[in-house]
Amino acid sequence: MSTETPSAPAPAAPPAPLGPLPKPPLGPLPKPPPGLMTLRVNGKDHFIDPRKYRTLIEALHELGYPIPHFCYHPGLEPDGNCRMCCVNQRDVKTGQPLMTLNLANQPFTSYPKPVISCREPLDPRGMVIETETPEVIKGRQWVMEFFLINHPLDCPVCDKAGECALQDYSFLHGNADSRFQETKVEKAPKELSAPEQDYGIKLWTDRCILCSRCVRFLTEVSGTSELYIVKRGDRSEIDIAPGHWLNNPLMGNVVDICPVGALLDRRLIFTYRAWYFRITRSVCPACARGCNIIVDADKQCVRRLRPRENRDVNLWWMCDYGRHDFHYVNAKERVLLCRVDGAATTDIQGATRQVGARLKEFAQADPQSVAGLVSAWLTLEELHTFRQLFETLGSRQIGALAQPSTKDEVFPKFRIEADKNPNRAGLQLIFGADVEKNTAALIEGIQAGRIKALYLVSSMPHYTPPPELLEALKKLQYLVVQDILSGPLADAAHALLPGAAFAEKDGVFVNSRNRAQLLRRVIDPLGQGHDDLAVLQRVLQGAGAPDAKLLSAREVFRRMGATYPVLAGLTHRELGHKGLVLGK
Amino acid sequence: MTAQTPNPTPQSPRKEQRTLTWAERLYLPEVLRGLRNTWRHLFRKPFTIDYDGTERASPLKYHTPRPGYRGEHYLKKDEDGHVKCVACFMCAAACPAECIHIEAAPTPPDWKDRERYPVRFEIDLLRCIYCGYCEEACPVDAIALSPTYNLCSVTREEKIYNCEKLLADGERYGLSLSTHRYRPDGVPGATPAAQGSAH
Repeated sequence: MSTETPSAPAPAAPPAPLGPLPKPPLGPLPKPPPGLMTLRVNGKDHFIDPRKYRTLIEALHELGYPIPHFCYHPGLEPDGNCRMCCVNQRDVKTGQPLMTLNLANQPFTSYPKPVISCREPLDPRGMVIETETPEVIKGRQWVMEFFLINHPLDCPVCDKAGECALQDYSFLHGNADSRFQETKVEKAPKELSAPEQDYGIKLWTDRCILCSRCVRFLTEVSGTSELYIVKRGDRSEIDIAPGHWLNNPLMGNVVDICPVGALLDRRLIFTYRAWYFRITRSVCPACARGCNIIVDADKQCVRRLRPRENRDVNLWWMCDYGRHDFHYVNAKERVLLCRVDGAATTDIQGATRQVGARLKEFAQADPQSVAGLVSAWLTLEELHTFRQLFETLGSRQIGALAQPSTKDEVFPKFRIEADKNPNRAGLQLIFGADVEKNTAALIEGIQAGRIKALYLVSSMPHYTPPPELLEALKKLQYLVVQDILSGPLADAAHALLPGAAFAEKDGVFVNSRNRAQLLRRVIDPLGQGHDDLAVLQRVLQGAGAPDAKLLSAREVFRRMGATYPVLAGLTHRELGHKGLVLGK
Repeated sequence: MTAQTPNPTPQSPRKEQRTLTWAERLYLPEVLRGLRNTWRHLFRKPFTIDYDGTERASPLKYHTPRPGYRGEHYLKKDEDGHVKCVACFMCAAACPAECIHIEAAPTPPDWKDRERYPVRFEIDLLRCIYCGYCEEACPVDAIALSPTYNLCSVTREEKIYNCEKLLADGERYGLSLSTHRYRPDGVPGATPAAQGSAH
């Protein structure tokens, strides 16, 4: 970045001359309370804990100063290459700006030296920072101008448009037009993942501003280090070693952290425009970790999942298994209609009433002839309603199904859990720790003919029922299945009820570290407007439970505090966007 | 009303009834005078035009709208004969009536000049308010509003124009390669055929 000196001849059309340096702040810094430091920003004093923040920019962001930045990311080591976050610093004692010598001029002149706020450590003795002086603003304009020299400015056809940091900062800090007269350096787009792979990352090389976030992510978080920067100067570009492909289960994150539209998800290319998305904060259901996510939906269709920050759970990241595991929500195989007496029907109220009445008939003959199977994909509220149903029927025969676990995948700063069920801890909270072990006994009971009716609520998208279960289901006199996808379970059912996917319901999942987190409804339930909770409540009504009402998940959760001491006093509102650890 | 209006509208004074003369009260001379007017116009060239329904094929046969008139939309093609649109959704984003529906896709490999094109481009003209924002928003000058002022149709389906229809309309106007707005003079096919139009 060059600087205009007073002796330099004025250009023909000077762009907004720099004003005089503002007056130094008056008075010495106030003495902070013990353990804190004084940070004076734009003349206002703040007392902050210097050990809490890694660098200056984190403190400034926390205090509400919107310092623009490209290369800085709170989850990565600071690099300081983009120079967008520069601010002015003044000497604490004299109030004068920190100066640097300009060796290019004879005789030497000095000028205020901006500090890179994403790399500047906090000085516990106190700091005086200015974020909006004319020099700082001018510096941002120059940085933007340099970034846009070789940027193709193809925002209309770029998928990042609307959520692009370069676009936003160009509006805030950039010039309306470019002074660059020469030809832009052209760089061809390239595939970073194997072309035959159905999912991968594509690099639009010319859009890249070389912030190196992707390089740092793959070095620090995934530890795979596939990408690096080759060549020099304006010909620098991100590249991958020949013969190697970008292929690790965390690579989707580089698309999120890319501040421009250089790295894009091959599955999503050209399929969306960011400004149409309805954003909902939710929880990823694909494993027991419960990564905090944002669900982007367009009308009634889930289009994209991306992580959101929760430093206690997933930091800023999520794995690609979870990221791409939403296509079943709007799949053709979804169970949308009820099926009772061998005929499909849209009358879900009649169907649920009938199911409840039939279960009650069996229970009246012999309460232990009715059994229930739930899954670890149901929310706490649904599991609680299921328990209420079986208390009404008088049966204690409840087992649970779960998707099989895989292996933990451990990366330097991320771990993908083996347990692929989002609410196993919640299942054990409601039904006790050995509920899954009951399942074998239930299957035995069915085979022996002791159990005649079974209510199975699965709502698991990737569950393959074991053959012994399918074999046993054939012996039942009455099988009710509530599921989201049609398959062998739905085929075996005498009564089929539609389930709801994670994007269609409100509720609470408890993750493997006992953290209760809020799942939020993104789209309307596809199964006749009823999510799992509503279906269960209607069956409960049909089974003749006294004072069974249709309640929202929020209300059910509020009332659950009376039954489960660990949930006492908790509400959805208190769980908030980041959840709470239970029993703490 | 108790409050007085500060500046009441003056009531127009009732016109005084003029008493008719004796000849006028006969009515017959007045009727004959009116008939004379009728007969005079009977042999003049009519003001109305003979609207034979072929107007859809040549919309400018009878009437040439003024420059800047905003009629039905059309899409333009580039020199290779491909649709100029790059499916950027700017028109759809600018549209206040939300009547433009686009689906983008990667281009076939033989389209060398770009990577993105619309596999589906539909304008629901029943919702359209002909504001012309789509034309202003388009960064590649692919969509424009034609002088077609006849907006009627027999079915609703006819008024949902797809990409092929919009491109065919562009060809018909001979405007597909033009980068400027429609002008009635100097653009082939835009000169009115019916010179006798009395407008």
